[in-house]
Amino acid sequence: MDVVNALAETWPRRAPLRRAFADVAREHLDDVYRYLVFLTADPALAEDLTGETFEKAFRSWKRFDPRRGSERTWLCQLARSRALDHFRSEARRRRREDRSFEEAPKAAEPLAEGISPELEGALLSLSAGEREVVVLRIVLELDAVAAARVLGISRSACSMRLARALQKLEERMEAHVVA
Amino acid sequence: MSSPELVANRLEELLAGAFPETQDEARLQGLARELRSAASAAPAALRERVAEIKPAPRVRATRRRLIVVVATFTLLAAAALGARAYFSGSGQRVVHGEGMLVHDASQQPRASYQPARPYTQSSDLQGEPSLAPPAAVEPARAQDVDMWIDLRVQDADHVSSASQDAVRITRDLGGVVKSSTVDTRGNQGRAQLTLRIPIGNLDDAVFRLTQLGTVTAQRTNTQDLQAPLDRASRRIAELRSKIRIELARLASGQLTAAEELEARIHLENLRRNLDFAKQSRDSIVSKTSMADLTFRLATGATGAADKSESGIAGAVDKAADFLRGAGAIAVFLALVLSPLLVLALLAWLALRARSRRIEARLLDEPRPGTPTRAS
Repeated sequence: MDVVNALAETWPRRAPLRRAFADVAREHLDDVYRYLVFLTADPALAEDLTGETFEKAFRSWKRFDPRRGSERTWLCQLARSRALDHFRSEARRRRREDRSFEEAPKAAEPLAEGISPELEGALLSLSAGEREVVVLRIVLELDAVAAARVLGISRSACSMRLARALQKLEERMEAHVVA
Repeated sequence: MSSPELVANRLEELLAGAFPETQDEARLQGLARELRSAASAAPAALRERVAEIKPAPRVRATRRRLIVVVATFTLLAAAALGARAYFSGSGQRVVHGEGMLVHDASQQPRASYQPARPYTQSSDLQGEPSLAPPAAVEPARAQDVDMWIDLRVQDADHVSSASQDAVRITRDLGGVVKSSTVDTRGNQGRAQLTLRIPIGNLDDAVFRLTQLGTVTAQRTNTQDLQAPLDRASRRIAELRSKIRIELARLASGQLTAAEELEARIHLENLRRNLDFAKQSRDSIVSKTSMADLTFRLATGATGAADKSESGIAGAVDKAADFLRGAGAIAVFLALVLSPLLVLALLAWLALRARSRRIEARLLDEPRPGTPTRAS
């Protein structure tokens, strides 16, 4: 019996059973939305992109492999890809229409409830790349490995990027306070 | 460890809940706490939209699958054609093994190549027919035919008896044995007979000779000599005509002594040339009337292999042959496809790097119309 148990430990583990997509969507909808709000700094756009992300996720659900990462990581990867596609098409549109970056700011809409205006202002002054590492690591509390997987970079690069983003965030908050 | 890495490591510790040692660290933890308390729930409309997601028609997936299947099939077909062209590209196929029929096409420049007749049935040591006679010989044309037949027999006794049978068959068919070597030692032996067979009886000879054992190889060289034969015949006719003219001139009696002497010398030359032309034609006719057939018999390892053909070892041999063929095709494909794969890999790497650069630029540039509530 001991031999059998010892052998069983060495056998490759079976892939964990996948849950129903509806359950996954219900559980992670807020996280994906929050990630996209921070990444795009535009709640209305984030809402659109979240919807598209879950539609894409639904179509690709069969291809999701739980052994390669959690559902949340996979959904964030899809969301990021969708957001980058949007940024690309926006950049193309701007070039086509020859618009400068001096568009009028949209109506103020809070990024999230429960954070101070200084912090929100500092967040908005960061680049999208800096905001996304902050939201992944701190707001969504992904570990370094999962966040690095979403960003497509190494674990150490992810940690460095977070350190720099937080340092910049602190500096901007101090500047706000002084102002 | 470098300073940025130390900072990053300390940051990981603080995020994991380590006790802050400085005011800056405490402030950082406070910042993280505030960020974690940020609550931005998805709007109700978005919840409804996600809850209503239904499977869309799978046209794209089906189309993609179809494209993949067609591309794979095309690739395999191209590879098979390439392999076929590669392996049949050499002029001479050297095929070993029982009952393989080999024609040396590279050595018959003036003869039209005709494929061998199909394999009739496999032979065994009891002398059942193993191969159909070759059809590379055209009886209507003058051809020089050289043929080699390798046979496998069971033991030394069979070498001797098959050699005697070959001599008898050759004589029965009006042929001659040019040379014969029979070498037997114990149970092993080999023999080589060089036979000349009338071309008209060649098919019959080959059929009967191949019944004496198991054919391991057969090769035929055919050289078309019809054109030289026609030239020689034309030359003879031309010389005869000239001789008749000269004889008529001499018989007329109107020639001076000097002209008559000249005509006789010319006539003599013409007759000598006629003799040469006749010899040349006879030589060609002699070549084309008889075929050279080298008949080889052998025992030994091949005999041992013969016994195992119907058993496990036979199956192993066939499997090994199959694997050899598959390996050759795999090597061919690797040689052909490896540069393409390297190019594809380089292209993929370049595209990936470019995509990364574009992503970084998109994420680093300020977004137009960013909400600025705080300002």
